[in-house]
Amino acid sequence: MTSQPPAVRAYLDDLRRLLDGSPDRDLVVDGVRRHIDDALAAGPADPAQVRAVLDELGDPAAIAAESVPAPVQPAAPPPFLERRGGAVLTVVLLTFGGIVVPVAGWIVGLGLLWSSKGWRLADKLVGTLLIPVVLAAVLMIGALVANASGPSAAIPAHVVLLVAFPVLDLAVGVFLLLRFRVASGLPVSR
Amino acid sequence: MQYMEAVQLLTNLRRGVVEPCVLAVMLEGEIYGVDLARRLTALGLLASDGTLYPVLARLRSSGLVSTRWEESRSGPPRRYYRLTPEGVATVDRFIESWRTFSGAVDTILKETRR
Repeated sequence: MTSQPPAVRAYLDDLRRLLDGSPDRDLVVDGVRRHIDDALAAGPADPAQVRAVLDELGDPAAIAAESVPAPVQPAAPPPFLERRGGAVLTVVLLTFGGIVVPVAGWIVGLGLLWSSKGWRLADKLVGTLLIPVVLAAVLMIGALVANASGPSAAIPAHVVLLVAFPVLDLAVGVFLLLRFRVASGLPVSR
Repeated sequence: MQYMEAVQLLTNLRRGVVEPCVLAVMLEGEIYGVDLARRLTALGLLASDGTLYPVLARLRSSGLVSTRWEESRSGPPRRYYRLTPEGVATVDRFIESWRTFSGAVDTILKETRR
């Protein structure tokens, strides 16, 4: 075929685009192209004749609808850290990791927390800062009280840590578990 | 019945029978695309000529139909379609099933005619 009328080219381009991904695309487009060549072979292709042949072929969308659909790609499951199991691991490392392996366990938990898409920025800030900030504040207030009213009135620092730390630690863990959302493309509904 | 419903009903009815009907035409011998499409469209078995080609593509992929080129006096070489032995066996099975099935539909429509 040396010269293809523009209407034919446009029709075949449409069809090819609509069949994109279908395993039968090339066979179908080739069949339709040869149908047009054959149907127009009888004489010189005047525009009305071309129009008539394309009309008889029908809407490219109707042809594509008859074709084997493109294979559906199953949606990839979210990576482990974005799923509930990953969230639990992150929270366990944050709350107990520092006890099992001092400091390092907690830092690994922080790394997981910040690399996860399951928490919003505010949740990550709370999970990271609440314990250090509150503990520092409690110890500072304790020190101020001790300065003002003498050592006997102060609650010893290790008592503060022993009581306040586990409570805060568990509270943050529960908070993070409640705030975790399995990440999806959709905005999180509130 | 609404027009669109009628169109949809026809589409659904065609779905199961277009492939065997295409094969059945080839029982008479090999045929080229334009002839086959016009014949089936004229009978209402295809919605339009173009919808033949996805059907032919499937039949070729599943080995029920093979193709052959032939020079044409009046234009470009034509691709002829013909049945493979598996294609013949498939038509035979369809004819068998269709007689039973269409007979059953006719019977129930006759029995329940208002």
